Amino acid sequence: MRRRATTFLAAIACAVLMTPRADAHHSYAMYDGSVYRVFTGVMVRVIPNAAHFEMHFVPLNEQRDALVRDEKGEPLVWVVQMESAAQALKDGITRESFPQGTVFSIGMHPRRDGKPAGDRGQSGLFQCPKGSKPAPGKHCDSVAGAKTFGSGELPKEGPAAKS
Amino acid sequence: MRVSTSSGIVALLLVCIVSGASTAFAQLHPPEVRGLRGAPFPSMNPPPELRSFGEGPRWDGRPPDGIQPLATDMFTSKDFYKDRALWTDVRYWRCNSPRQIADMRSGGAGSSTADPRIGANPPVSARWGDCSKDWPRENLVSPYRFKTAKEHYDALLADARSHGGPTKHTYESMPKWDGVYGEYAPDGRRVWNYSRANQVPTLLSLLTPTYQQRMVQQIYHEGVDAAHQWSASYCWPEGFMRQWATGPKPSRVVVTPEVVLFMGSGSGNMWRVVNLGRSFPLGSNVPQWYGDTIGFWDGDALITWTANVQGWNQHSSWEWSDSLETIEILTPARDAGGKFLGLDWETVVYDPEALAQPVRILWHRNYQASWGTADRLGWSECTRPLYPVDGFATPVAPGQVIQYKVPDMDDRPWSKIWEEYFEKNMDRPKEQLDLGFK
Repeated sequence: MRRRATTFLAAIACAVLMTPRADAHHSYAMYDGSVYRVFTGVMVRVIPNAAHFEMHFVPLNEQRDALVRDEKGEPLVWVVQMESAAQALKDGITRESFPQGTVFSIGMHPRRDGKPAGDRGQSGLFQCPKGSKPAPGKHCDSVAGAKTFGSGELPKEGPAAKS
Repeated sequence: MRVSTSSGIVALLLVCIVSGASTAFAQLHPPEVRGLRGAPFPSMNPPPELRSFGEGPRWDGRPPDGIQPLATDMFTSKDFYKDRALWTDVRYWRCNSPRQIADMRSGGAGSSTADPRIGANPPVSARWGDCSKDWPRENLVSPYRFKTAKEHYDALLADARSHGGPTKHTYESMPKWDGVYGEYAPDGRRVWNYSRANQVPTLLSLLTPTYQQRMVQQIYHEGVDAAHQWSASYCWPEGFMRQWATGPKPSRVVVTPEVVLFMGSGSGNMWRVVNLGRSFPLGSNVPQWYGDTIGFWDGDALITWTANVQGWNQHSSWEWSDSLETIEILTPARDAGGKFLGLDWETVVYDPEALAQPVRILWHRNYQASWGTADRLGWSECTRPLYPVDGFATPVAPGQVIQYKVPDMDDRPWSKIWEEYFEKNMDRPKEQLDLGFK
């Protein structure tokens, strides 16, 4: 009887632990969770969708002095899909804290089909102080006075660490 | 017998006239608190609609007597951006209201017509409206001195406090407004925000230059190109201001001591929650399609302040920005016998980005039925949109493959469609994305 109860409780605990976060509303099957890409870019706009917050940004080149552009010469906008708007706001990520032109760094699991989008995964989010940018090849976490939003570090570019 | 029957009919008619008059008198005349709410309108409200100057093919392109047409007007222009100096002339629009222009080829939303006002040789054959009619601008602008909704709300709250308010209602004392409401439109007259009562320049005069251009862009492409980008066509949200036109309206009311709820369904759904006795912020600053609303009771008047509204547009009318805020004052209208007729609903709209000065709308929601006797409140989920094909809202059959450009919902998607398909040869003022890097 006691063993049965223990098994039952364990099953409940397991079910609770295995349950996806209640604020997940989209499948993430399109993202390649085995790799991270890391960007430093310039904010175009924050889109506080209720289900999944989005940040639209244009990456900076390796020299960190120009926008990455597409074959037509237009700024190449990437979309990073994030947690729910409620969670993002708890972390202080808002339209006001990330106005257009903000320089920031984030990692993401890219789309499997190569389109310019990804999901944040467990990446940290670092904002460069206003008017500053990282040294060539570096990210905002290397800049004095950078601000972090939520938990996590910037991942290394390449295979994601297995959890 | 004959005489007494006639007398009876006359008496009955008199009763009808008197009761009708008292009903009409009670509605749209909220109690005035000088300088704060209920200011009377200088002229008839709701306003009469602008009419076509003439009906039938013989009126195609023909101006009213005594009106000298412009050499270029919107129906002959190839680039409305170049005509900015003409936008303030009613003749540029052939004296049509924005909604008349939207309906140039139809009998109105959802209906076609065998006699379209665009005429036999569109768009140059478009018919004229009545140049002698316009609802006065002083009816549109706020009669109050306040520059912001906060100032207005604070003044209303101070006034309530000056006589012991705000009123704290209990379940027993709270106004019994629960029920189903319709729109009071005597003789078909509707609030001005339908854009049926005004000449275009009068409405443009309410807007800042950027928002004037946006409204002109919409009117031009609806009238000249028949490229209507109506939100409901694409299953896009209708937006806050559509309550005062043909979007989902607050047709249901629920009152509790803590909140007042407004709900409605139609070309989408709307629900608004008036949080009584609270202050901003109510939560995160994510803009809401119907905003965040706080309020209080001053006796049986409900006074509300709405902020944090998502900027958007409504067809045939003006766009609004994320800065839009409203003060709304709801007061019960009763007949001479004290019977509840409905709610006089005064709204003052503040939007320093879009509006040159605050504007005011007064409408009446007439009580129709209790929740217990009305049909269910429907819930609409828009799942079968039209799609923009070559710039035109187009029905697409299941299985059909089309090329579709994903709209940027945060960057005026309706405008991007017009720019791509209808403005290639226009000299549009440039708006560059400046991110601070080359």
